[in-house]
Parts: sequence; structure tokens; C-alpha cells
Amino acid sequence: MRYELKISRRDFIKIGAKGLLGGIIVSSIPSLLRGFTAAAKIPGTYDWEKHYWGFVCDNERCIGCGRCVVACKLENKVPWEPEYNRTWVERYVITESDEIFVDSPNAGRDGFAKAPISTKYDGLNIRKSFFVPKLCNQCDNPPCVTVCPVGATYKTKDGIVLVDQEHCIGCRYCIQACPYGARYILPDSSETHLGQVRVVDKCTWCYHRITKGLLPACVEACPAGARIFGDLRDPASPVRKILSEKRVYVLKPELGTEPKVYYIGFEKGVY
Amino acid sequence: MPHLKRAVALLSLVLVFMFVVPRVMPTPAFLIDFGFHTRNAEQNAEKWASVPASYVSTSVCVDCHKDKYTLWQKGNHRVVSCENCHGPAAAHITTGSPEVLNTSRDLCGTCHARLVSRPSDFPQVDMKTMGGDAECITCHDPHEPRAGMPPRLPHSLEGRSDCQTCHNPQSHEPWVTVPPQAPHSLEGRSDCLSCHGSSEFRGASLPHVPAGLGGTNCLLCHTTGGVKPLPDDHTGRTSATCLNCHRLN
Repeated sequence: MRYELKISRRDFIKIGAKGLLGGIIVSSIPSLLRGFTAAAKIPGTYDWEKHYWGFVCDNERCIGCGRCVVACKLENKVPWEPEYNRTWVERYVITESDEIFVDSPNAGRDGFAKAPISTKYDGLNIRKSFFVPKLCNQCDNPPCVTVCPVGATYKTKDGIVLVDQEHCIGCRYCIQACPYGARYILPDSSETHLGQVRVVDKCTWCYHRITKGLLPACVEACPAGARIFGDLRDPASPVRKILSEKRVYVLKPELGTEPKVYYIGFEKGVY
Repeated sequence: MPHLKRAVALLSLVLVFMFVVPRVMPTPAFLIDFGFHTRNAEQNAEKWASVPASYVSTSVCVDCHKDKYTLWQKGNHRVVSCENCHGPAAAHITTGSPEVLNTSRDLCGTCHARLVSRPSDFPQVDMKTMGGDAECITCHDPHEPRAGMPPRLPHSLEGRSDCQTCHNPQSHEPWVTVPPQAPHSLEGRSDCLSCHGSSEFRGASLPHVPAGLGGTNCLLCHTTGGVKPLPDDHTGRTSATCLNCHRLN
């Protein structure tokens, strides 16, 4: 039996075009409505267009106590296991013969003060050694945002890269794209504040704290003043002061990601 | 078959728009926010901002613990926030549950154990020898770690063996105030640092001597007022002793 189409080609195209147009109009209603209703209701008087946050890590001051890692995990309910970290501390050891060793035992969570961590490099002829705190750089040109296939990760107007964990499909593209290793997937056992698992999680510079006028938990916890946080729009902020007075460095500047974590005391090999 | 050519041309045009243009031109932000299944950046940022904070910051602790705060403010630990050692205080404030405090040597050692990777001007001790097995808080008040300790020596002991040459308690030399006389007998005491701590940190907080000026006559400029003049309590000092306290930059 032959199936007959009882409609002319002209009519078919007409109906198709109308349907397409109607579909576009209907599907744009939510986003059009959002334009009228949406207004940022972040706590109190916080206006995200009035701030632009920056971070300084001072490698010359970091003592490798790892209290920042602990504070971050407690504050943000990051899984306690050392595989999952929003921030971590690396130890650099440079020998007289210019060999460079880098490690971060348990991501620095337990510090570096106890054996066998403290004695690991005992036999070496060490020329220089120091600690480097690491966290999300909140890049101005974030590759993680570019690659996300569902638009779940985005940059806020105050310069923080956040993840909508209800939209994240856990594809891990952003983990691959991030040159700084700042992202990880929440394991099934995790109990975060937003209650999601198997989606990507990352440092938010404690967005819930900075929007209330508090410092990020790692900055609050640092006993050595090695982590400094402030508003790049505020000329009196400690970060602006350092940027105007000191030579600062960023990680992997050649990638053009324009990080907003600035380092004092950069040494060759830090990467 | 012109109608076939037309179809192929149209198809290739569509393919170019679907696969080539997005590679060359990244998706503009307004398209990402378009349609039914899109995230709303503002709503989501609000969600992140509404997460409760566990670390409340020292300015909240002071509301109740004024006595500890006054002590803490004077000591070298004033740069260490309460919650660094005591843990996040949000639960303690809402439920009144007592904070469980770790008073072990390990906690102190987390910061103060001697490590090659630590900045050399950060106070570090050999955890194996310092104080035996006793908890550090037996001698050191964690809120003001040097409370009750003998004052630190203001200068390095390197190359100096006989303290009494300068600090003789019975000195009849014309120098009365500089250098100061030792307040106690020095008889039988040789290792000053065992009580007085190391001087190596002392200089860190004092103004440094500008690079390249070590050993020159400091007073040449610093008495005239042209450069930062000497403070009042420096009266009578000569250029010879500046480097005892002030480090070279």
C-alpha cells in the first residue's frame, strides 16, 4: 500500500515555517519574562556589579601548616579525602644541582610537620624550599566556561566562576580544560551544602562569605598572612595595595586565561 | 538536475552554519541564557551566596570572650584567628556546645616544627627537644605565647662569647644607658638563648637598613632630619650599634 501525502509542497513548507516561528516565540517566553523579573537578590545590600574580587598568595610567607585546606573542607563540606580539594598546598624543593621536587601529601590537609612527610627530602642538598598555596584562579578568560556543553558553569559579574550544579551533567570537560586542576567531581558519599553528587565542584572564593563581607575561610584561617583577599575595585583594599607595590606573578600566563590569583615570591619551576 | 544541485548547495550551507561557524565564532552569552533549559546565573549565584558560613571570624568571638581577646591582641598570636585552633564556631554560637580543643604538641607543631621549607624568619623549634614530651601550653599561653617568658635578646650572639664585656652589672664605664646592663648576674650562665629566645626574628619588624648602606655612618643622615630622624629613645647611640637590631635589607 502506498502512503499518499495529501498536501502540496508549498503548503508543507508554509506550515513548517509557521511551526518553527511559533516554537521560537514560545521557547523565548521564559527568557523574556526573566528579563523583567530577574534582579539579583544576594543577601543584604550586596551588589555584584560594584565588586571585582582578587586574591594574593605570598609564597614567602606560607608556612605549610595546611590550616587553609582544613578550613576550606569544613566550611564548604568538601569531602575529607585528599583526592577532593578546592584548595591545596604544594611543597617545592630545589637542590643545589637544580633538581626540582614538587609534592602535596594529602593535599597539605595534614600539614608538613610530621614524619614521614617532614623527613622526605632529608638526604638532599637543598638550595631552596618553599610552599605554594593553590586554589581556583577565577580566570577572567576561563577555559572551563568555554568548554561546558550545557552552559552550567559561568562567570558572575563580580568575577567569580561558579557552577550551577543542577545543570551540570558531570561530563568532566571542564576538569580537562582547567590548566590549574581546580575542579573535581563530587563523589556519591559527599554531603555538600547544595546537596548534589556526581557533578563538578570547585572553589568559589567562599562566595557565601564574600557576599556577606566576610573573608574566604582559607584567608580567615591563614596564620601567616600568606593568603590575602580583597576587592580590585577598591583602591584601599589589601590586594590593590600589593598589586601596586610588589612584583606579582600568575600561574601559566602564556595560556591567556588571565588568572586573578596573584603570587608573591615566584620561583622557577612553580607551575 | 538543477533541483538536486540546489538541494546540495542548501545542505552544504546549513552544514557550514551548524559545524563551521560555531567553531570560528564562540556562542555569545545571550544565546546560552536563551530557551527553556538554561541556568539562570543570578538565581544560581544567589544560591551559592545563601550557603551558611561555619567560620564566623574573630570579631564575633570577642562579643563573649573579651578576656581572652585582650590577651590575644597583645601577643604574637594576634595574627592567628580564634577559629584556626578552636575550629569553626558557628555551631558553638547557635547551640552553645562547648568547643573541643586539641591541645596536643602536634597542633602547635603544625606551624612551629622546624622545616626547611618554612620562611626562615618564622619562629620554629625542634619539636624533638623543645620542652620534652610536655604539652606546649604547660609553659606557653597559646593566646600570648611569650607571656611570662624572659625578654628576647635584641641582638645576635654570633661571635660574642663574653656578655659581661658590654653588659657588666658593675660597670663604671661612661656608657650608662648603652648598652643596657644585664638585670641579673651573668655568673655561670653561658647559653643566653635557652631563656631569652632567639634574636633572629627580632629584626624582622624593625625598619631595615637600606641595601648597600651597611657599615656606613648611619647618623650622618638620620640625625639631621633630612632622612627619617632617630626616635627619642635612641639618644646617645652611635652608628656602631645600628646593625645589632636593624637588619640589612
